[in-house]
Amino acid sequence: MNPRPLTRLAWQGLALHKLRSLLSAIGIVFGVAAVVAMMSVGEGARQEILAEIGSFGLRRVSILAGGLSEEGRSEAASFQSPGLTLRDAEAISEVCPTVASLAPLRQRSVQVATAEGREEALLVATTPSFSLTEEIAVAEGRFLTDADLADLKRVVVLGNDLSEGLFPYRDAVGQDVRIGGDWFSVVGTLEPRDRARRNRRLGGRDVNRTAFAPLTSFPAPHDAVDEIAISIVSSDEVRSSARLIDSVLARRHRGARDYQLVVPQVLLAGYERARSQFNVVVGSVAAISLLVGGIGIMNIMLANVSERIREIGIRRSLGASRADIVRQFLAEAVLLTGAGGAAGILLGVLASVGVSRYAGWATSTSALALLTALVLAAITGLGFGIYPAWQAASKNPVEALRHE
Amino acid sequence: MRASPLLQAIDVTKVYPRPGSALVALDGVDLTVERGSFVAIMGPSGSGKSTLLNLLGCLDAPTSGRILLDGEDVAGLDDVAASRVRNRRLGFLFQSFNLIPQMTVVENIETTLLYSDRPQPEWRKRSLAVLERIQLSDRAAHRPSELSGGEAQRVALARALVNDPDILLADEPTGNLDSTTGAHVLEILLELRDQGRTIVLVTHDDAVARRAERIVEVKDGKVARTREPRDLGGATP
Repeated sequence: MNPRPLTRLAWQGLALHKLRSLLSAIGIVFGVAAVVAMMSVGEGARQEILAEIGSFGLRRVSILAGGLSEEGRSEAASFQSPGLTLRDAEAISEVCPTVASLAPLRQRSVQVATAEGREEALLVATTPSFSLTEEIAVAEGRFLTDADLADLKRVVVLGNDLSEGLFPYRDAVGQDVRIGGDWFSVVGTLEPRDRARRNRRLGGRDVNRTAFAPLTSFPAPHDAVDEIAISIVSSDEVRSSARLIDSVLARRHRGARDYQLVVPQVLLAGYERARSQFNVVVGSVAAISLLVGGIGIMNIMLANVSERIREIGIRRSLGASRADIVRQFLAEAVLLTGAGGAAGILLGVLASVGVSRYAGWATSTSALALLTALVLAAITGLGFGIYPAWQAASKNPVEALRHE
Repeated sequence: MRASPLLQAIDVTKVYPRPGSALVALDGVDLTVERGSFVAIMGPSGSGKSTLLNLLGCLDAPTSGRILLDGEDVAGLDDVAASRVRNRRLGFLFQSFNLIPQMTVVENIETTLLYSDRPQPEWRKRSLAVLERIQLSDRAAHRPSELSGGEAQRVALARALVNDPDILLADEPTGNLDSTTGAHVLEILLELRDQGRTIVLVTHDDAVARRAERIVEVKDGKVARTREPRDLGGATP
C-alpha cells in the first residue's frame, strides 16, 4: 500500500473520534514539549557556562585571597598565616617551572573622574605580566611596564568603556584622571572586549570597565594581594601545576585555607559531569513521559480496534491481508504520536522562547534535538501501536463480518 | 464461454471446535459452479449455507476437503495468497451492505482497489465508472448513512465489481431490502450473469432462488438436493 492512501486511511480512522484522538495525543504533546524545553534550557545553560569557562582560558589558574568560610578565616588567624602576599607569588614562580606568566593584583571599586565627568570602575593594581595572563589587547598607547612599577608612577590604563565614557571627544592617552584623591596620567586604552567574556560566576572582571595601575602605586600592609593570576604553559600541565601550586601555598600558609584555587579546567570537568547527570535526568523524564503517552495511545488504539471489528472484516473480504490491516492501524498510531510530537515540538520551542524572554535564561534549540523528539514520538507510536494492530489483524474475517 | 467448472467444492467439511462437543457446520459437501452460471444456495438458518459461501470465498479455511478455483486448490492458501484471490477474483455482497461508514461512496468503492495492484491514479477513474454503471454518480461524495438501502446495496455491488472479479458471492443480498428494491438489485445481478459473470447467492427467498439456474439445498451441513427452478413451482420468467 502506498504511503499516501495509507495516511488518508489513518486520518479517516482517527477522525472517527476527533476528541478522543486529540485527548490521547495530548500525553505525547506534553511529553515531547517538556523534553524539548528542557533540552533547550539545558543546552543554553551549557553554552553559556562553556563560554564563561572558556573565556577564562583553559590554561588559567587563579588564586583568590580569603577563605571560603568563617571557619577558614579563624583558622588562618590561629595559624598566623599572613594571607595571600607577594611572597606567595614569588615562591610560585620560583618553584613551578610550568608557569608561563604570573600577575599578582589588588583590586577595588573606585570612581575615575575628570573635570567633566566620572565613571564607576574597578581598579586593578597589577604588574605588566597581567596583560599576558588575561590576554589584554591595547588599543592606544601602552600597558603597564616594569619601569612604572619600579618608579611608583601614577599612570593608568583604561578599559574601553572608561576611555569612551570619560573622553568621548578626544584621545584619552596623555590626559589625567582622578582616582581616589590622586591624579593619574592615562598611558593606554584597551580594545573593547566581548561582554559575554565577563566570567561573572568565576569572579571575573569586566575588562571594559577596569582601570589598570601599577601594583606598587597601591601598597598594602604585609604586601597582601587579592589575587594571583597565573597562566600555565600548556593546558595539559594545568592540573599537575595546580596541585604543585596548592602544595606550595599550603606549606607557606601552614595549612590555613585562607586562599582559594580556581582552575577553570577542573570546573569545566565538574560541569561536564553535572551535565551528563542532567542528561540522564532529562532522558528519564523523556522516557517516562513517552511511556505514559504511549500507554494512552495503546489504550485508544485498542478501543478503536474493538469498535471497528466489522470494518476489519469488510476490508479482509475486499482483499486486505493481515499485513494490510496491521499497516492501517499502525499508521493511525504513528500519525497520532507523530502529530502529537510535532505539536509538542512547537509547544516546547514556544516554552523555551518564553523562558529565555521572561526568565532571561539562555536557551538553545538544536534541529537535531527536534528531530530526535519527533522520531522518538513516532517510535512510541510504532511500539505501542503494534499490539492493537496485531489484535486487529488476527480477527477471523468471518467472525469480524458478523460482529455487530 | 466454455462450460468448465469455475468453482468446485470437493468433500468439504468444516468443524468448529467448541468446548464439550465440536460443531460440524459442513459435512462432506460437494458443489460445482460452472463458469457464467447463477447458483442459489438455500436452506434453513444454521444449515451451513453461509459457512459454505465463506469457504468458497476464501474467508475461512475448511477443516478438510478441497476448494478448486479454475482447478487450483485455494483452500490451503496462506493469508496473503487468499487475500489476493479475494481481491482479484471474488466479489462479496452482504445482507447488511457492509459499507464503511466513515468513508464516502466513492472511497468505499476505491477500498477494493487499495488492496489491488492497480496504480493509484486509476482508482478514482475506475470507481466513478462503476458508479456510473449503477447510476449512482450523483452519490459519489455521500456517506453510506445518507443512502437508501437499495442505493447502499448497489454501492456495495459496485465495490465488489470494481476490480473486475470472476465470481460474485452474495449472502442474502436482498434480505434487508423491500421487494421492489430487492428485485431491482436482482435484475442487476442477472444482467451481470448475462455479461458472463458467475454468481453464487445464498438466499431463503424462493422468488430470488427461482431466477437461478440451479438451486442447491443445504440441510444439517450436507447438500440435501440440487434442483432446477421449475421444481419450486409457481411462476418462472
